[in-house]
Amino acid sequence: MTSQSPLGEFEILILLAALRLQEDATGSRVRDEIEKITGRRVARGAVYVTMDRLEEKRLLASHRAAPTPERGGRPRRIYRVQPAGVRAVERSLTALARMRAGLDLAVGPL
Amino acid sequence: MTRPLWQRVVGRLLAGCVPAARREEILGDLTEDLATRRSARGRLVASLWLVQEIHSLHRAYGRARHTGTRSSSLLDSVWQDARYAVRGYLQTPTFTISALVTLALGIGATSAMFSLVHAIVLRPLPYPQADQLVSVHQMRRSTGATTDVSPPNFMDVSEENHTFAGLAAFWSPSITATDAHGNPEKVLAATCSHNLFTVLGVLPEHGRSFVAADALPGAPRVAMIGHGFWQRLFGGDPAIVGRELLLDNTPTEVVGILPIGFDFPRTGTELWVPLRLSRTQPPNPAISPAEYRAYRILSVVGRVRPGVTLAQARADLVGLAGTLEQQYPDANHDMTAAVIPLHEVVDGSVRSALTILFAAVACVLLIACANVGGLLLVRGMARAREASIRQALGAHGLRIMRQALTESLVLALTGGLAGLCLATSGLDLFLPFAPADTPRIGEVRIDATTIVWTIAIAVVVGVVCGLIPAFLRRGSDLTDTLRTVGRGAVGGKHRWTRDLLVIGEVAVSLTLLIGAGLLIQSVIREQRLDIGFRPSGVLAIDRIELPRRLAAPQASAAFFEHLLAAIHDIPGVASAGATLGLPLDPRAHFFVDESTFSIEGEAPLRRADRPSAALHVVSSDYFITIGVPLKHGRWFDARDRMDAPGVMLINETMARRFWPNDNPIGHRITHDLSIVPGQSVTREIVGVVGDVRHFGLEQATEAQMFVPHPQMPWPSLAVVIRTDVPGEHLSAAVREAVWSLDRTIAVPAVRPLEHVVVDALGQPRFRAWVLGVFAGSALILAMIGLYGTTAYAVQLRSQEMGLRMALGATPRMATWTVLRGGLTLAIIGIACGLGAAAGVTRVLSTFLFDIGPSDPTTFVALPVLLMALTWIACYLPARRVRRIDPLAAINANP
Repeated sequence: MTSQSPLGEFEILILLAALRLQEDATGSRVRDEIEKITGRRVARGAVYVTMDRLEEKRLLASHRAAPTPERGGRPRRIYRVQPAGVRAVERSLTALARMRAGLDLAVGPL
Repeated sequence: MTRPLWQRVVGRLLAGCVPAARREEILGDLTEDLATRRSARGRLVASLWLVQEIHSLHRAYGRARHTGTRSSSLLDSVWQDARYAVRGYLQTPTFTISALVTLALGIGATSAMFSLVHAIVLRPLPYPQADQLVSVHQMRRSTGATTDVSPPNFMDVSEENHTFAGLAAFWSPSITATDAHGNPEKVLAATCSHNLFTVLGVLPEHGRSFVAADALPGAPRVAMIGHGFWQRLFGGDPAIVGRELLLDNTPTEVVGILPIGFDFPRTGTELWVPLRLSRTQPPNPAISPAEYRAYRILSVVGRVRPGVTLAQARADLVGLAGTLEQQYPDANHDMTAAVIPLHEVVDGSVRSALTILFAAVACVLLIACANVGGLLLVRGMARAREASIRQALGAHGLRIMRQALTESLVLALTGGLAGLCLATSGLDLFLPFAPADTPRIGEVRIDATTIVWTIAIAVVVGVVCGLIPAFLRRGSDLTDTLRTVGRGAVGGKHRWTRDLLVIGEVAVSLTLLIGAGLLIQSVIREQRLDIGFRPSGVLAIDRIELPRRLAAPQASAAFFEHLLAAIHDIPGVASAGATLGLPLDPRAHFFVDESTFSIEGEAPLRRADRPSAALHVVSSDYFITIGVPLKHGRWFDARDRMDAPGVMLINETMARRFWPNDNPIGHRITHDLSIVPGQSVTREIVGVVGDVRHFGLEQATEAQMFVPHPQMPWPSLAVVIRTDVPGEHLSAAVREAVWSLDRTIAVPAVRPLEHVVVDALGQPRFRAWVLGVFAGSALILAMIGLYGTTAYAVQLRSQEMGLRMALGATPRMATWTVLRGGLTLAIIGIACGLGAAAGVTRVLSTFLFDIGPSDPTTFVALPVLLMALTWIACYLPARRVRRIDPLAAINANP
């Protein structure tokens, strides 16, 4: 799968959350952000695995930040959305918007 | 810093699924979030939350591993793949065992063969800068036949060459050494130039090497001894250096002990004495000074100067040989020089045989690869759906290929390990059967090089076997596979690959079978060959060498006469005889010389133009003892004393060649070789004996002359005894008979003459046996492959067969349909194999005896045999078609 292939919904959510969090985008924060804004429950493992995959696709990049005492002396991995990631999100959202255009999604009588 | 218990527990839990690179960060995230939860919701809720989170991680990463969508370090994922592969193999034991056995056989046979080739051919000789060492010969320009070098020629060439750092000459007598208890023992010795050890680059373990002064006439007698001899006779006492030893009853000072393993020039050499050469006086009293330059007895080894190429050294010596030919036209007519790398001389006799055997074992390995590749292909088919699902879930195609590769590598390396064990025990089993005259056979072992080589072969096998199915699967359409797996269609798509593998297997194994068949028939024909004598019931004793004081003609004639009489008196002995050398002894050429001769009444010829024949010295009862028939005339008898008129026997070949239309008896021959230097002897032919293959089974019998021992007394003769007493019972009596005449003479072991004949067949028998084993393994593997393919075809087409039978086909017809598929492959394979064999057996022709490389019987019988086996291999699985229940087969949706 290349970076040209369309993103899954969960991937879009993660990229958007990371964009919102900027310098604070750890796996944990990204998950909290998605849960807070969409109001749906997200499995921690799914977030990590998907972020690994997005990094493999070079849509995300990451670096290790210094350990802190509140983390039990463990390092923190900070993610940053790459330009390719931004473009991929835009492409996916544009595609969704185009598909939606002209549709009345109000639930009416069948 | 010690971490709280819960962190350590969670760490261990995560270790099972989360990749190591991420583990610390994820644990950090959990720690931070847990603290927040605890303060907001309390300990209990936080703990429940933690369990839920860990579960989620396990699920996510566990799934990622199965679908191959997770990213991680290469090593990490290869390790995961390997573990996954092992689990998979454990679940399919039948597949795993058959693949492992096949691989172990193929790889094991290859690495055993490699260890032989490595020790005998590839490994440099155990001397420093061994590539500078060459063997130097005289060579007949007209025929290209090489001979040893005469002492005067050797001395001239040593002094006048410009390309050698040193040239050393040697020859191998056997010397009698007497131990501390006064028991004589025969030792294989080398009489060598004082600089032999300098040329080879070998230093003594104790003491010193020879120096030029040791080789001067009248110098004190000195010797160097081998490590084994030192241990055996002197218990490894270094103080032996400087002490005296009785060699051929002459006190000789031991000046040096050579390191362990050194036995140049021949396996088993344990004693070295300096060669004392005179420029004018031949060492053998039978040779006149005039003949000295043509007395070619020295083997010569040389070390070329650094930077000198073989071609330069050759040109140098050929130039010198040209000069010597001009200076001494009588002795050096038609003679030039040959320079051959020493390792080619050492391994030359077996090099081509080993190459052929190695090619054969490579074929076995190829068949093993094809079989395992085929098995993996079938396994791959069964798992195509799994692979497709993983791909649909986002696993990369290459990633799945890597997994397949890891799986086959795990299999191949395990098989390689088993093969290595097999090779080790196989070598132990098979080396004792290797002919003793195989050069460097003692150096054969599974060493580091062999292990590395085996691992490399296993990796190659793994990649080849793994890539075939992985590559085929890569091309397949995802959704198509998902839809059709198990319905038979997808199997058909790759059937041609398996078909090709089976055709190749059958073809290769037929080629090997035909090669082995030809070699085996050669050996059988050689065994049935009329050797001209009856070895059964005859015991042989290698040459008994008389000490110098008994070497005079009268003394040695008397000694052997008394000895043979004493042996004849031993109860159970029917007759006893003596000869210069035993027939078919590999050293026969060394013991029996050729002599030129002229026939009385014919026009005299120049010595160089006279015919020549082997000149044997035998006792009167020699022929009766070994069972050679008298064709015309009479045997030697009591009349043929030393002072009686000279007589000789000739063999039938000589009678036919020189008296084709005449009776040779009564004709007189003058032979030029005699015990009195330069004095020709005239003898009357009194009888014609049957031909004996004296110089080797594969050599056509040449003209041979036999002279009675009393008329040409020789100080060393081999003894033959016709008896019904077993050798072990007779040997003590024979030793007593010898020692009753002289206590200082070493008596070689008594062995059946049949063993000498069997040993002469050693190399051909061994070649045929090894190639036979390889061909047999190839055949078994090919049949397993064919069986597997047919069985697979039955499984694949069971639905179709069910349908056919439902539509009215009888089980017999359905079986035939499947059988036909397998047989077609076999026939194509046999046709290809016949073509390949026709080309390949030509290579074998130098090893064939009395059978052509395209022997029609072999080329018909073996394909027929293979066809019969093929039929069985196909019929057994095809029979299962009869058991198919049409209804069940049609409804089945695997």
